[in-house]
Amino acid sequence: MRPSSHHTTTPNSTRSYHTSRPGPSPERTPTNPIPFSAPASADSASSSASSSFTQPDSHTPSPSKRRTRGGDTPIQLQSLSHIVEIAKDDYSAAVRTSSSRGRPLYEDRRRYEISSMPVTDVIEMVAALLSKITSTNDRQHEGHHDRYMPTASERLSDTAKSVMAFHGKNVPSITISNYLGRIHKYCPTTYEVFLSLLVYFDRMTVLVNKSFRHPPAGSGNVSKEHNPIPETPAAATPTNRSSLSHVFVVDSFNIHRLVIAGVTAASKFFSDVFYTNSRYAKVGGLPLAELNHLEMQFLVLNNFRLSVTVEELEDYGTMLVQFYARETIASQNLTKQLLTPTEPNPQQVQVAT
Amino acid sequence: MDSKRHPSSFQQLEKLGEGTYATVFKGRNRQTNELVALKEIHLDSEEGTPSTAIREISLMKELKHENIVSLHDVIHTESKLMLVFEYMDRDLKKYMDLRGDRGALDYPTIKSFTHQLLQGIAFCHENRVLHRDLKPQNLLINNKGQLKLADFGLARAFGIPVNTFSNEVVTLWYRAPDVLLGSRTYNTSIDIWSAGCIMAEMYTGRPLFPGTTNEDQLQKIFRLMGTPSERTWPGISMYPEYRTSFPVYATQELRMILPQVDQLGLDLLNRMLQLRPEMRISAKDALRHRWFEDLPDLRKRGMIQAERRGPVSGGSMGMGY
Repeated sequence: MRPSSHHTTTPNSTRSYHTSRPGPSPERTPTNPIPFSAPASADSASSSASSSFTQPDSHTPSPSKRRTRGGDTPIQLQSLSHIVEIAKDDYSAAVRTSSSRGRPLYEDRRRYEISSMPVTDVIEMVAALLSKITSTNDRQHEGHHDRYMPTASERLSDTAKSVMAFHGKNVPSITISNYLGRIHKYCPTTYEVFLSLLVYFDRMTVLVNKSFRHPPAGSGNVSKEHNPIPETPAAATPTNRSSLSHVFVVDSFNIHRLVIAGVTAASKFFSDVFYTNSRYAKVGGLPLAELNHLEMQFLVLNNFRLSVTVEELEDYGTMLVQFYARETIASQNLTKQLLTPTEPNPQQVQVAT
Repeated sequence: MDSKRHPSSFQQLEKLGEGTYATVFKGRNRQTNELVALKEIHLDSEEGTPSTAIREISLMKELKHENIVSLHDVIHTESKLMLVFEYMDRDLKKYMDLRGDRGALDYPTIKSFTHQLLQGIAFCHENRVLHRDLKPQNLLINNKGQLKLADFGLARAFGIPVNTFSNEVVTLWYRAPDVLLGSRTYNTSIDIWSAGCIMAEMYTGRPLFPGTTNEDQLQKIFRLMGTPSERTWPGISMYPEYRTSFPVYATQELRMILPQVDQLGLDLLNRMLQLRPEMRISAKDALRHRWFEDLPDLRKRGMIQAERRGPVSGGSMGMGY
């Protein structure tokens, strides 16, 4: 066995870190002390609240299974503006040729390498995708937000208990983007820790939901080729309310806990320099005991498999870039439409009167 | 997901060893009666699930090979994690103490164990995993003469760009010179250096470079392999721990300190113990080395020591898991 880990803590525990061997490299020591009141106050519902998740659909398998790997070298991306630049060029070219070729706009078959991008840019893309997924899932499950509460006599499966551990009573006020930014500010880590969250959420979805009566065609929450937002098929909506607790969907009630537990576990797997759980708990705004429990449940729901291949990371990175590019183009087009004055159509005016 | 088992599914037998993170017991599966090793990991409230446990479980679930110890099951409670491994009779250190002539093993056994060690390493490297803690205590032996890599608590996946690597890896005696010099960009070659040190130790029963500190370790290596310079190792002066004040030693011939090793064996050792990491042989190429050509014949003739003799009593395995 190896010697016990080395901890360095300032009087109010604001600078504790953890390395798997004595002493982290100097650049990893956090420079910003953690504010005492973390905004993502965790209204813990680990034991009491139940989940009301609905099965996300997936018509496309996860990126690692979906993409055939050509000999083409991936495009090295430097920043978000680089992505926007490429997306604009591609969109313009697609607009010019789409009518003659009959191919959909913005169909991107290239691979992208995001390891050279600033971690903050990767975080922004991950946050954008997770925000879209959670808001979509929230809308789809609005009717179920009363949350199935098991009675004392009802027995929940271990998987259901693990899923429910992440479900909060209330939605934290901090946005996903700010939450991820906060984690990176006080517990800086490398891009693969944040990107791997998408891989893990997909795996958890498959693992938990495959036992459900109507298993999805592929993995569920994250990996979509042209539509990264899961749609809920009618067939997958549970008819029996008690079965809701057996289904896993990323939504606003669990995303913050999933993120902090995921970053805590992933940083230990990927990096030789990481922080103590007490620091992650303080940064994440939840009690240490709860984070320890969530970390274990996160591992359980991933079957303790945190290994992610280089190809898988590359595929998820590519998927993330494509999502971000599409979203950017879509929002810019919407802005353009709103800002461009149009002549009123006489027929429309007539109908209006 | 692993079927949820309870710790009571296993009968706990004698304690095999204890460390900072875990206690290892011999155990028995109550249903199948098979012997297992139970590694109990204590969950610290400050640290949560130890990184060693996360890595060990994650990587060993992916690495299924006859020369890597098998992880059967993971059982968790709020206060501890229990890893259930296949039972192995002893580690290589104990094996050398019990079976060897003052620690030294016989030629066919050394060849068999070195080959199995390299097969395990090659499989790890093919699957982009660095073990980073190879030493006799982490190589387990069973009564069939099989050698298996164990204790993946310091292991890590490689190949993902922009990583933070620690240079506090591998037990001092088996640590490669580039790591001792402060490298954070090491690769598969660090496991090959360890394998070379282990191969030499099987011949003599004594560690090849038994240093006491980082500096002493480097000095012991340089005393045998010669002190490197920019001429013999371009770029060495860029390493954080490089000193121009290192004592200058001339290169010794390995056969002077390992006279019992044949010419082909010395050639393989020399290729594994290259100071420059990029010059070290790969595990895959080492397995193709001519030294192993007579291994099938030795096996056929029943010359491998572990296969010839019955089990040895006493000397339970230490903390190899």
